[in-house]
Amino acid sequence: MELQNEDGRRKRRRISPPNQNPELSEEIIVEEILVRLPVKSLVRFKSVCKAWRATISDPIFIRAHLRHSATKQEQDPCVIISPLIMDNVIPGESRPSTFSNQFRFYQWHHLQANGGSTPSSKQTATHIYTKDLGSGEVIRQMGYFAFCDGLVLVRTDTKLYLLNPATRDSLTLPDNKRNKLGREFCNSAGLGLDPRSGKYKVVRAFYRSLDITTNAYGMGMEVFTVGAGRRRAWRKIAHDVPYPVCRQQSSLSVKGLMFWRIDKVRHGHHQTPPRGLLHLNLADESFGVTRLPDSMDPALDDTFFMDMLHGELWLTACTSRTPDTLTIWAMPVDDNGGQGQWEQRYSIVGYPLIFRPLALLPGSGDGSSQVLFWNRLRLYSYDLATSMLTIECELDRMRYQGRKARKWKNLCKFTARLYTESLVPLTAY
Amino acid sequence: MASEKKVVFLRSSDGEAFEVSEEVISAASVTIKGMIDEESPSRADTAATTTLAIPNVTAATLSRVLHYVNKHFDAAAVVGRPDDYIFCAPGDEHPLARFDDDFVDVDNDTLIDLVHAAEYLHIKKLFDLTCKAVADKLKGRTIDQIRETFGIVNDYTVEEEVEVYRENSWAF
Repeated sequence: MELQNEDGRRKRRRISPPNQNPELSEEIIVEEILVRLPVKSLVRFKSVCKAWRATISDPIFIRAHLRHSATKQEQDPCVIISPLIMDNVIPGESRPSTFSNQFRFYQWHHLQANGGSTPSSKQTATHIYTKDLGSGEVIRQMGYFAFCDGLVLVRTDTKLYLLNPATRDSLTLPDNKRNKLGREFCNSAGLGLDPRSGKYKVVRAFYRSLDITTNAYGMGMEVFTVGAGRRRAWRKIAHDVPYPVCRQQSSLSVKGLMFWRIDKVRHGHHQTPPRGLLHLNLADESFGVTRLPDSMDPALDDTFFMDMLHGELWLTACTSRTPDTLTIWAMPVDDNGGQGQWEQRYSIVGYPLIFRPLALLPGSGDGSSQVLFWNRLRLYSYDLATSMLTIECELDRMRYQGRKARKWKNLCKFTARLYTESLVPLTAY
Repeated sequence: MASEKKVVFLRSSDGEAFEVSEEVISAASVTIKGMIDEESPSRADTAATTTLAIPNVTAATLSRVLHYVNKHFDAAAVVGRPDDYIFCAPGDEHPLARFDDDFVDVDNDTLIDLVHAAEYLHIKKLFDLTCKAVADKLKGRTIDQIRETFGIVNDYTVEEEVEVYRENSWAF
């Protein structure tokens, strides 16, 4: 019920004397009421007075608000949806190369969608934010977004943008200057929270060297600390990266560990790379290898999805076509970056579709019985007891607030992810 | 009747006494459980029922709180899992979700009295419920309404206020 300061000291609380006028103490207003408000209301309430503006910008308040936001998220999963739009479609193109400079973000609440009495409410997503990069940038490739505590890392073929859709804050990260191989460009990056410093870190990989006799690429990584103030530049990680990572990927962070796929081709043909994921510990910036589950067919090693659910790393792979089977493995990660054992969690049989897990749906508490999934066009819920897959919504057909047209022109696909809105700032605080 | 469940009396700030099962109120209120535990050595050998003074809560508020506590305790006994209703969709007709919605659908002063009572009595679920209800009421208010609600004096100069507004105008 109380906020704790960073040093763990409890704040003194005021107990109102008997028969006092019904007024709330400042402590209750700030620590119990304001922390439960949506970001948009709080941004507006900065205008109330100087003290409120200071409170709403205070890192302790921002963290407390994030904790409330995360709790709300568990009770009413909120999904952030972003349509990926092409400027124009080039006929016969094997992969799209002309992406729009506009990124739109919408949110969709699972409970609201299912609890509303009118069917149309199920099909509505509310607009959060549109980021227009301007006409300066030509985007030939779009990576998956990386998400962490309400922040979104947008990765194009050459650039990185950091956004907070809820506060409409955005930052263009400085260019990649460390890539030594001009022709081959690497823009793999990820976003995560360093649990030790409480700072968010963007990590990007770059090529250091190439041994042409063995085709072995040397790789390094650099860190951009969000909100580091004047030192707004990339800092090289001291340790060398033991194995090169795939060169256009968004890495996934789970509780202070950032996971990367290893690039087997550029590892060089002089030795076999380990069967696993490279991980970076965001606190001490050391590297390690996380073995893949033993029960996973080595032939699948490049074709799984990585997701973070409830502090666990989840791998999803299509493990059979006859019958169609999707298998999910999960591995817990603790707060100090320690890793648990892999567990083969679910097998979903009989659906010729590939989808990724989004959230465990609340319902029966500890043994949650439904999992929310998504793919490029739909959201699904899967009932673990009955093995039934149900379409929750068709992303290209639902209503998007602020848009008259139902149909998306030049739509490539949708990205969906669990979204915890936050006040986390992108600049120094 | 030795088999009958123990009860305690709670006396409100304005002197009214309310009877409540000891088991129910101990499970709900950390504060009252503490009071009962302190009393218990002396109670063991007497048959007299205990009356506890609750000097911070009026009769009107205390009766609401007890209504909430009894309702939630009964529901927990039936389902075995008291918090299930939290996960119900707003449209779902779970009796407790409906009860909670109606319970906090009161005027501001009553709601704020409930926040204070829940805080003083240390009833976490009720405190969360009432604080959330206050937050829901504030969410859509204008800046002037917020200042009025909390008696806050606007300490911005005109220029400063324009500047803050300009930075965040999209949220208005």
